[in-house]
Amino acid sequence: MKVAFNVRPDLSRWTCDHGTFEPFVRHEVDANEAFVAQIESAHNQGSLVDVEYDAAAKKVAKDAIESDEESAKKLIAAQQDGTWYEGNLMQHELNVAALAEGEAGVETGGEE
Amino acid sequence: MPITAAELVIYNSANMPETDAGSSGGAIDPLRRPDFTQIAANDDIEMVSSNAGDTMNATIEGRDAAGNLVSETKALTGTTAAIFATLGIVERILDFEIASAPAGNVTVRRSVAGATLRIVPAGERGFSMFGRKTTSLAGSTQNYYFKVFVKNTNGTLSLQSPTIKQNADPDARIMHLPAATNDDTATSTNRITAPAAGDTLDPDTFDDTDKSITALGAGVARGVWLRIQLPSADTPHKTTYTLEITGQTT
Repeated sequence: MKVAFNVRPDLSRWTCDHGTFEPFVRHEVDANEAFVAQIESAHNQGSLVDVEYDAAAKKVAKDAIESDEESAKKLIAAQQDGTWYEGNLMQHELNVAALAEGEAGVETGGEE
Repeated sequence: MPITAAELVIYNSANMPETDAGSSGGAIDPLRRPDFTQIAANDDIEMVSSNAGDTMNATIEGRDAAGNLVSETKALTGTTAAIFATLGIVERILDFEIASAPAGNVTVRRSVAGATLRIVPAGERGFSMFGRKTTSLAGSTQNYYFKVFVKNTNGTLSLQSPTIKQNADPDARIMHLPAATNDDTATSTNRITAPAAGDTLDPDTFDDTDKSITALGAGVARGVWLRIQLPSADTPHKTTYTLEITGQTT
């Protein structure tokens, strides 16, 4: 399957199981299903831009990312079976422990 | 059972921009959160699920020791930790996104088996640092606006007489202002444009004071706009902000 993509210009590199890719270069690759799925995962997150797939790759990419609507259904299921509450409580306990030392959640740059 | 502190959860809004283009805010994003514990020292990062069946991809973005932005996509390997080995040593994490909702709770931590940055609860998709990649200006103050939500996830009880508070802002750069109503979907034009006065709580003033809001019913959320104000030629910040909600429960 043929895929072409760019790495977002402010990144110094994007890596995956299939290589390391730098910005300001148009990457054109022959990708297997696993590679296509990782490309689309990074595309969805925002690390890759201007991604173009051939027809076969497009189908794989479409299945690689779950819609937020589908995830929301899984979230409800995880809340109903208690798994979400378990993870949420563990995280809450970490938050409480971190409060004393401060919890980094903001990054601001210097002068433009 | 009363509402517990753990049931009052902070979430991202639908639009948490990392550039000055595109809208900021919107509806609650119940799949992604803005809070996590930053790594205390430069290190590798790994992830592990509590469910052996979780093998979906995840993408992580951070800064290396030189400040460069770096990103890696890697598949979870169930209950065996998967190291972001080609990402290299990072100085901070900015964003973590899973391609589909995991069945288990996914722990992101320093490698190997080190301090936890965040646990992504089952069914959720990730976390990110708000206010990342903002920049001060040479000759004027620059404001940035982001919206988060505080949700009462209790299934039956209403949080009465809630108050939104600033608990801590060590670098004194962030002020807060609740949205005008519960479960709102308002956006601002972009992250450097303030939300409209009609979309925020009267008297529409960003400051550090306590803000009383209407009750949060079961499953109801309240948006809170956060303004980062950078004075002219500000120094870089790697800081924290702690938002708090108090209220009464039966």
